[in-house]
Amino acid sequence: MHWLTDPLQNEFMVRALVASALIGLTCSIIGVFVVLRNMSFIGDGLAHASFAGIVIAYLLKINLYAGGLVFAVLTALGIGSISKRSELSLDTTIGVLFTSAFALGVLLMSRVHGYVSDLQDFLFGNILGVDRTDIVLVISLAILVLAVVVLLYKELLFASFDPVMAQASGLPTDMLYYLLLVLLAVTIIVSLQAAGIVLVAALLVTPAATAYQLTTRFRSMVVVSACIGVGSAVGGLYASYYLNAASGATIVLAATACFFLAMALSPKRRSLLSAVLASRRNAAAGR
Amino acid sequence: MSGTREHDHTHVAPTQIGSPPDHSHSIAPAAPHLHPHDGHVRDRAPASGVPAAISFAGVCAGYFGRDVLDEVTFSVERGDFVGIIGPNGSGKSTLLKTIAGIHPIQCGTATVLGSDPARLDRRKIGYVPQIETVNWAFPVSVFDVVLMGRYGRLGLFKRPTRRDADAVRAALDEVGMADRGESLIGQLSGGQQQRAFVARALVQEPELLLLDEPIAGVDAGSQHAIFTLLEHRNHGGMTIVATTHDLSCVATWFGQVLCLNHRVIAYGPPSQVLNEQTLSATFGSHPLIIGEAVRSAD
Amino acid sequence: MILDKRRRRGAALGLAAVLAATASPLVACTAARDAGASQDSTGKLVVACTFSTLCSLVAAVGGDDVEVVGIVPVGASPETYEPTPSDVVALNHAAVLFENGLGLEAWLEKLLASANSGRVAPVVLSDAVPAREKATGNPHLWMDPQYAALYVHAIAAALARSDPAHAQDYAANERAERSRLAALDRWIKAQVARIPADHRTMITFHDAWFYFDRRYGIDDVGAIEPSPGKDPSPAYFAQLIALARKHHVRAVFGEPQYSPKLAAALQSGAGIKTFADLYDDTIGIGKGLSTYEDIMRYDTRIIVGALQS
Repeated sequence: MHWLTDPLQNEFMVRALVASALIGLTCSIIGVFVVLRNMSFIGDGLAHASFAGIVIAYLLKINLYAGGLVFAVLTALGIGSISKRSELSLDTTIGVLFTSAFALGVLLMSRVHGYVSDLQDFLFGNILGVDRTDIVLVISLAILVLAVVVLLYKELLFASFDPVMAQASGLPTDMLYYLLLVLLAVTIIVSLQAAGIVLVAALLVTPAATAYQLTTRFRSMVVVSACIGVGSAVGGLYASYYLNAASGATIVLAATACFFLAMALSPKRRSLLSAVLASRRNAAAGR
Repeated sequence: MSGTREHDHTHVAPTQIGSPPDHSHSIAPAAPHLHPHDGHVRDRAPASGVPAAISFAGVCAGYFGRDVLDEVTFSVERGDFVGIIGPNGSGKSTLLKTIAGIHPIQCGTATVLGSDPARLDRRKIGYVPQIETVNWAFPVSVFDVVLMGRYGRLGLFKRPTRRDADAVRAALDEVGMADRGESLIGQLSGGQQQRAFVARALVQEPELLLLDEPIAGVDAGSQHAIFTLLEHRNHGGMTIVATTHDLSCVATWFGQVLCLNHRVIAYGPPSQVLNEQTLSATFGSHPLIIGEAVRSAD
Repeated sequence: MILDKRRRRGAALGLAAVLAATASPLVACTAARDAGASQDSTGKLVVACTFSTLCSLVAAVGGDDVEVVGIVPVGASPETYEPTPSDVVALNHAAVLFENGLGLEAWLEKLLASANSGRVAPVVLSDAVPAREKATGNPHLWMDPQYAALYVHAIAAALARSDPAHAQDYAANERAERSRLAALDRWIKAQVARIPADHRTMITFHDAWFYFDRRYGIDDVGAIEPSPGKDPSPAYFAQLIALARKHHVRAVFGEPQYSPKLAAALQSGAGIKTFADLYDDTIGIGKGLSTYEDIMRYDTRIIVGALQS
């Protein structure tokens, strides 16, 4: 089993594997909510906006992580309150806001001398440069996300599935929505440093979308999504080691391969999807 | 509320009304003010000593002030079976939501099961909202959905127990879905979904059951099943309030009918309320609806 | 406005006259600017150069007779630079453009195409170095002071061609600069000699030190970035760590415009204790690091200090 242990002789590979596995785990679990609640756009936008947050933190001479985190969380809460308020499609507003925030970050960065946060690092991450602080942060993130999802499992499920009824039952649905957004922001910021935005966006969506094709229960969807997230991360990293390729890319491709495999192997799922769509049509027609 | 004649009647225009409500009707006139005898005809006198299940006085609510409900006054006794009818946009759903305590009240007073709806114990009220608000993408079984009705009494961090599972199975049995427990909710027909949601409300063992359009888009078989069980529960003492579009059902099943068009147009037993004048005041003159309703009321 | 036909025609003519009157000075100005573009308001020759280290050499030769305009800002890397519209304007106003060549400034070709390239004459300084000595294709020739001297000679020749009036000045400056560079070369040699022979190994962030190391007998073990702007793959990084261990590399050198994280990972993987930032593609801001000579002396002290221990 030399091929399994050879990469582990290098300390940086061990750290990269631990970091990417944990990032894969947290992103794919949060990703279940992102996919089912149609928040993919928000997730992507938050990742872009957080770039501006990191640069602003640099200019204010505060810790990059902390500054970026505060900015991302505030943006997330802002988006949450806008989406509650406006009846119009908020896609356009969010799109404008997020792309401007990103452009602001790029502009600020271009005026700054010295290293802030490479655009390259933001896009593709720096998984090989993961240090002890990063590992601690990623572990803390994983614990936080797992704790919230396990402890508030039924509340999150209910509030996501039927927010009106959940609220009528006394659940603080608004609080839960904001909590989800904050968790998403935290996940993105912590994962961004090591993994880059391309990888984070992919890990937020692809494992959950794959799990959706393979499972018929929410709990199993979460578990399967987590397995695929971790598996793609570890498998992708090994692949990049032996293929001498960029690790972010191989991880994304590994996850995508799982997705297409799942799509091909589960005809049952496809008929289920069409049944769901049909019942939605029925409900709409009945009004 | 009484005697304040300077109320402005023009800020909300009831929809589909050809002429403003005629207060000279002998039957159940629209009552923007609280009359000494409560303003509404009711067949039964309230049981002495037992407080009303629902008591609304001059309630208004809306998204921009008073645009949806305007001076709504009525009361529902325990054990009543009330149907709320009215045209689209008349505030039926909002009224139900204010009773359930999930929509704020801008003016007036509302008492539900003895307390302010916003503060009352959620477990006493079963609420079956309109189906559209559900996220069908979620992979949950019928059993999972009905089990959600028990979450309210479980509280934070507690896992459902066998007792909860038993309650779910009993409720599924009652709605005639005992064999569909493991089916995905998204795979069912509209009627079956509706029954599942009713089961979810019943599993809470509520005192008051509120249903928003329970039979819309539902096949006749499921309609019958739903109404039969509602009637059964009502005989057992459960107070039930439902909104509906379907006037023929209203005449057959409900003990009381409330005609709503931003205000209470009429309230009383179907035989008294479902006549041409009240219905045209509620819906505007739509001969088809009125004819059908009048026919079924006889 | 209600004007009859005659009045309207008169108004039109009047308007045209006014427009012509105001426009002509503008036109004249621009023409004058274009024609005399290569000279700024004080009559100095306007000269453009790509990045700050090069510009420092150009300024040393040009002296008071030229105005040097740099394109890549101080602190940024010329290899990954993204030009802006103001760079086009700067090129349009310059008589000469000094570039390094050999692929260092990949963005320059497009920039020249957008600029009024008919006028500005690009001078490729790496051409001054004989082909066999730059066979590897690594463009960082100026890091060897002896090659920098060849650059200086080429700069002086180009300036004299464009501005013969001051050819004497340029020649004098060239001589002064070349003697300074010779002194620098001797000084660096002496400094490096203080490093014990088996300590003379370096790993840098990107491959800018090849010629310096070759000149002064230091083993250039490798660079973290396999090529500029490209992140190392896991396998490459593992090989680099193995190499570092094998050659007992004592120090990893980064640059202020790059992330220190990969260097840190290399350090912990290969057990390298020392890390320091060097300047090569850019001079420093303030800190007395504003010329080529400054950064070469600074870098040498850093390198010697790191490798001596």
